[in-house]
Amino acid sequence: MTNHESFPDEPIRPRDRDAVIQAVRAGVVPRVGLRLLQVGRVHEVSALVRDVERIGDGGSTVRFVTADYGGGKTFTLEQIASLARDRRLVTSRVDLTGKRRLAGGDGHTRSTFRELTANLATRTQPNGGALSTLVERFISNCLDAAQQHGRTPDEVIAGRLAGLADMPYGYDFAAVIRAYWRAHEHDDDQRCADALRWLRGEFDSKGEARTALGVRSIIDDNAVYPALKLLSQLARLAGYRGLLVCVDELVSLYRLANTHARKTNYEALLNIVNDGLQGTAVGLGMILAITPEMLYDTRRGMFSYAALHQRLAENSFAAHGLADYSGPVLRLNSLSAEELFVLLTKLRHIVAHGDPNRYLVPDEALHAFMQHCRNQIGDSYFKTPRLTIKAFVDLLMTLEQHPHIVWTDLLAHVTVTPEYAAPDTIDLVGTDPATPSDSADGDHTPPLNTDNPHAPAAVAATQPTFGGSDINDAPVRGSDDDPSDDGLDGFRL
Amino acid sequence: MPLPFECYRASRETRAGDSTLRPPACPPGRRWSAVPRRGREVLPSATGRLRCKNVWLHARRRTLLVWSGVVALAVLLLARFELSGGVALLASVCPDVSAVLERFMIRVLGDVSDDPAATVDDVPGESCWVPPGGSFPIAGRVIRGGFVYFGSALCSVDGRSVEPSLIDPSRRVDWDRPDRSGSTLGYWPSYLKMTAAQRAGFLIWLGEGRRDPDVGIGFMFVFFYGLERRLAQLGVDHRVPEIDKILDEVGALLDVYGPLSRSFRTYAESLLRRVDAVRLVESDVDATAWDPTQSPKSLPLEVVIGVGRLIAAAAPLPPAWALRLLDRSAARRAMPALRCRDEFEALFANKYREAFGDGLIIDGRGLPEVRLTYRPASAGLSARRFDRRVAVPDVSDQVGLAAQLEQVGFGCVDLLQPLSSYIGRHPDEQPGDRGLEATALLPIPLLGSHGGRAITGMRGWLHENVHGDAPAIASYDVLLQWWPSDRERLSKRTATFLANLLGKLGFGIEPDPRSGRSPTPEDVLALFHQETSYETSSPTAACRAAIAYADLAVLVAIADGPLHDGEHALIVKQLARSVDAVDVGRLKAHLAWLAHQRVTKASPFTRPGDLVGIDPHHVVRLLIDVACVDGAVTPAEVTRLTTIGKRLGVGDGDVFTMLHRNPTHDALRLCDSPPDNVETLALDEAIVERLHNDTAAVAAILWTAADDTDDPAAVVRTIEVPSDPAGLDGRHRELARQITTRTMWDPAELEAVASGLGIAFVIDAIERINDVAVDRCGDVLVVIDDDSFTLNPSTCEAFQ
Repeated sequence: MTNHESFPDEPIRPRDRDAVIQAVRAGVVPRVGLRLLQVGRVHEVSALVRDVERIGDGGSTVRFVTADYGGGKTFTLEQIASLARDRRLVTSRVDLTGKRRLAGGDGHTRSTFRELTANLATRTQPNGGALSTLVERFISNCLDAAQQHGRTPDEVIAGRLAGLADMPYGYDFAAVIRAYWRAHEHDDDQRCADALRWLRGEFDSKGEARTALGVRSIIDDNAVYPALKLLSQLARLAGYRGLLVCVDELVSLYRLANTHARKTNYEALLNIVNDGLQGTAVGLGMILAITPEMLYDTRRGMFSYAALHQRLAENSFAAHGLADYSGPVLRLNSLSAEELFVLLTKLRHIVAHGDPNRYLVPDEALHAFMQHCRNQIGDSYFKTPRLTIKAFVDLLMTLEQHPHIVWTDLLAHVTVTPEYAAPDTIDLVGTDPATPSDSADGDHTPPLNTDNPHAPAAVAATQPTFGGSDINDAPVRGSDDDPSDDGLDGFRL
Repeated sequence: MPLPFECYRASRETRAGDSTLRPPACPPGRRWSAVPRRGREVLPSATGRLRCKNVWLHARRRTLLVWSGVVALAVLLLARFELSGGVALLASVCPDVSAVLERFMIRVLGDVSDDPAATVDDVPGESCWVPPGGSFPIAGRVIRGGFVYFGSALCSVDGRSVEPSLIDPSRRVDWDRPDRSGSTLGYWPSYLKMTAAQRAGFLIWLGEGRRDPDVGIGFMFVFFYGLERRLAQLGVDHRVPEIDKILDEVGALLDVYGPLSRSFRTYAESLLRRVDAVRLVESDVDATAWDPTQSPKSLPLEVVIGVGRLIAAAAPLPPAWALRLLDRSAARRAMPALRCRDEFEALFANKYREAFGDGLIIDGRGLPEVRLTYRPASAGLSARRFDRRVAVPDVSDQVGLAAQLEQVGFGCVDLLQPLSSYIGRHPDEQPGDRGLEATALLPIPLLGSHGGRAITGMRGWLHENVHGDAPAIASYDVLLQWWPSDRERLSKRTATFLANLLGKLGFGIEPDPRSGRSPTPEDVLALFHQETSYETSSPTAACRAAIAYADLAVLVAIADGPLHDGEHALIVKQLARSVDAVDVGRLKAHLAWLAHQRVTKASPFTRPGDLVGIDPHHVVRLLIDVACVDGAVTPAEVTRLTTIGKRLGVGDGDVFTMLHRNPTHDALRLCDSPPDNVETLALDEAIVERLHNDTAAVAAILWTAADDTDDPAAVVRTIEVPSDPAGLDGRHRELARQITTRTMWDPAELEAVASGLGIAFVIDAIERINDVAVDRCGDVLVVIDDDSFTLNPSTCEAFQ
């Protein structure tokens, strides 16, 4: 059954192999060697490649990648980010949490921005920390241009940054870049560091920023999305093709207990969607990973916000077997048993360094392993395969280290448990005060921290948004709606 | 046996002072009946007259006894060998002795002298009979009225004794002290045995018209004996008026004395029946003459005769006669059969024809002939004389036949039970003006004959409006036009009866009110032809599930607007093959109703509980297909899906997960519900093969995506570095060369080297070098760590 057509002919580099195995055994998505684990999804990958091309061409895009827990959202984000870096895009990623949101006070939004700037990555720096590289590449290019054209670096830098002045926070952003150049020219490492701190949104007060850099603004909770757009412009000015931002665990917003906080974040999300769909964010792409419940839940999810639902509406012709992969929502179906089988064959291939002669187990072992897992946890073994493939790699590594052991002897000791939700999203709620109306929300609402006396509702009402825009679209249904008014009076079991 | 008691009575009569010492006038040789048996029973008297009489009697008896003993011995010997001949011989010699001997033989050997072939017609007595209205003189008076035997020379029919009813004028009558009570009369009374006072009482009773209820019942019996004998003599000929007069007299006596004497009532009724039976045998019989007030102990004779004649003719038993065979059955007397007699008879005829076609053909071979018997009250009449065999088979004891018919009968009773209960609750409702409920309770075969004009009208309307398989839409208002009162107070109960009635007429309605709540007259419903019988007209479980699903699907479809054709078509497609052929019509009608309704809210008939046995997840999956059929899922549809899912036991998360999947390309059907707990893992080889191909395609996309912009010139143009074949200018190429001289660099050292080369930003320089390295070798040349720069040896050689 094994078909090796999908495997590259060249051997797998030990670094990639080890990274993949290590990540899989840890239950996380590897940063490298992702293509070694790719199974199917040709349409989805093609759609995302087109998105990358669009960003590289100066366009903008926004995508919601939806999948169940363990359905491959993070993997897809990493894969596309890797692809984007290969295509000379700067990428960044952030996992939203209760403390990192798209909108919210108390530095929650700025925290998201700090994470994004810290994770800025390029092809040669895939692990992040490329903000300084970005700035220096820009200045270096300017220096080269100045030298080439016989102008002063300041003139060139000022000229290239002039376009940013029209954008929100663009003037100060350009000033900080210039400050970085001047500090570098004068070997003022502190000032360089301050400039990078400003770019990372680490200044807490405007006075501090003015003292350090002479600018009157800082990247606060309200300036995050404009700052991202400025970063994408900077990346393009530095010679990169654009900026791709990957936002994972967006379900954290869905899990916010506070209705107002949730809606505020949805408004910020709507702003991002509007910019992405209107093409106003030049060279900026956003890929956001969400779960189906966040998308479809009409009480707490994005469908509860009419404007968002309107933007995310699917193509009405995408029915009767026709699928539209160009819409803002890209659905990743859970793995099937057959897809898991192919994934196991690829893992076996990776562990064997890409050499079929070094396979540790035959195809029968894959069948037996799947049957064993199925007997233990049912269909969850392939729908949320994180623990399944971890167990399989553990099995292979054990066999590799103990060649005298037969795989059949180990199979009986394999234990897998079903996975219901991403572990890092369970405890996301409770960080916000809950309004009384939230107590009647959906079934997924974990216990709420309603005892916090320091969280008046007025705080949530003044929370800044990620984009800071004023959204006129009001939600159709919220959690305050009467759930019994469903038009199903006669429908009673 | 009456003889000893009779003799005893005679001795008592003598002792009471009968002045006539001679025996009553009897036929020659029959005077023995008045002879006291034993002289010692006569008590001593003060009068010498009585004493002389006893002496005389004693001498006479001794002589008789001697002669009798001798002759009896001889006759016994003869009888041993040739009884009849011996008696005849003896009778020719000595009639008196032969009579005594005959009596003795009867006592000892039984009634051997009766001729079985003899009938009552052979009985003499015409000369003694006083016809109705006649009179006779006795003891100085004239007794009017007739109906009696009067004379002194009439023995009983069996010849054993004096006719008990004979009024012997030679007997003394004590008019002065008449005994009207007759309290001392024995069990077998006779005029002969009466005392003079009793005779007087008897004659007075006769003369007064025989209707005095205070007289002793013995008088009436003596009189009845005469009637019995006379009827036995006359037969049952209708042309003889006297017979009817006698029967009338018996009837009149029965009216007066029947309630007073059960014995007389039994004899009198038996006599009348006997006459009727004989007349019946000689005439045509009618199968319909059933009297429910009668409860005969055996099958009525007319039924036996009528059925027997059919059997004898090898003709099929018509339903009417079959029904008469149930006369004594509990089925015939069950309350539904009595309360709904017409319906029962009609229904029995129908069911009988269903079961037996033209009728049962009973094989008469082996069946006994009908035997008419009668046990007379008079001791002078032998029951054997009344035995009569009719040449038709007797089915009265055919238990198997009765059981067959009883089964049909009880079936009819069961079918009529609801109607019977209804009539019991509504006794005033006339059969010709039945309401909807009573009409609906009629069994199917009776709808045409007993349904009235309402059924005729409804049938006409149905056949005019419901054509073939196409359901027809109508409102309750229209269908109840034949029952205006029910239309005005339409309730679920009324709608249920309407559904039942339509089911009996071969039509079904959807939505079925039997599984919903009260409709309104304006509610519409779909009518359809129903092939099934009424008993199976209720939808099957599969049909109920399909209907429940259709309702749910419509609920989802109308969540974002009216039901449109695409949604309706998909629902129809999903329900294909979900029901048996028998329920297709109902399902079509329900779908037609759904389409016609243009529903905007939940159906009051929706019963998700009917979806038992179907995987709820499968149902939700199908509903999601309905929601997605228009290409967009609205929040209203999602809300409805989650609501339905919750009530089906499917959590919101599962609903969202299923909603998240692309709608199925080929519409799933309700009948494709996945089986539970498939143990064996089965992989589709074709899918695995396709996945390998897809994966290869994705790899190609990724590699292509990585390579297609690897044109160094394009990169150079983008990042605006001086044109260089390798993508690096001289300074950076030199820096790269120097970097490859060491495996690890301190940032300060490398910065110094870069400064020496005129490069301002070492990080940027390494980035550029790595860019080229990745393009050439697929990996970076220098790995940037936090505090050092490390050379990548795997790339180094290739880069150089």
